[in-house]
Amino acid sequence: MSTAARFDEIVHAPNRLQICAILSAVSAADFATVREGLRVADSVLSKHVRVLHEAGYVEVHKSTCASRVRTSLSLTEAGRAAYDGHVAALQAIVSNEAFHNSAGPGASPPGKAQLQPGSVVPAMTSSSA
Amino acid sequence: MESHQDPGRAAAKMAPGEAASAISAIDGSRSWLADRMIAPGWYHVAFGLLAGGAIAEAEIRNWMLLAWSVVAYTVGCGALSWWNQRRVGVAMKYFDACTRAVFGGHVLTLTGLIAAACWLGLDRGIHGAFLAAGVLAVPLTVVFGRWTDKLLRARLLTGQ
Repeated sequence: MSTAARFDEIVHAPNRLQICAILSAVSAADFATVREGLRVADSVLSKHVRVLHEAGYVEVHKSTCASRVRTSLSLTEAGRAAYDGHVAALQAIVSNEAFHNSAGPGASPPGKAQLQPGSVVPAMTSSSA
Repeated sequence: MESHQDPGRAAAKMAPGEAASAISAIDGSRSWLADRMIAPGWYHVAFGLLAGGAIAEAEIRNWMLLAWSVVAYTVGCGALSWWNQRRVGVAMKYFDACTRAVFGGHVLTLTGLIAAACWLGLDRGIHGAFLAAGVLAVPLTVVFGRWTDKLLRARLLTGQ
């Protein structure tokens, strides 16, 4: 399946990108597992999860087991699409640079990808990561 | 408050090095998750011992004891799976076409072992057939278990 490359400001923040990377591979993950993966404090993870939740990208489930509340997180369809699109956009930026580097000097301004402003990264579709 | 500037402009401003390091962070997260999914060494051995014990126990020819060993096998497998699920802390589809085929192969192999032990032990009257089948079941279970882990890890690394 191919995904349209779409840079997403909400997903792009490093911690949120990692949250999405973990959640994209599974159906749901415990809050504690994601926190361990990111090596951040509860409060930091909560803040990022709230941003993703408010954007409609992440669902938060709470269940009680032996009088302990267990919180698990999962990506919504919109979140999965945003993450896939963002990864495709990142790959497009990297592959654009690789293309211009292989085309020789002067083909690309150093340090910048050849992308036009607009919501969708131009002329790029990439396989879903 | 999050700033939400034009995403295309943000992408255009991004240095390829920054994009590459973001992709590398994604790979790192996937790799961490894939490593976490790998069960500890004793986990598959415990499954093997449960299966091997239940098969080898048939050598005693006590049907009540056999029934209890089947119950112990079922409860033991359930407890081990529950513990592993808690340890990993994620819910996912464990079975795709490949892992299902390996699991099917495992079940068929154990069924074949039990059938051979029944034929040799009950029909031919050879002593030690169930014991030998039980001993063989341990490494076979470990091999199939680790094979499944390997497939699962590869799937997580590719992000499927």
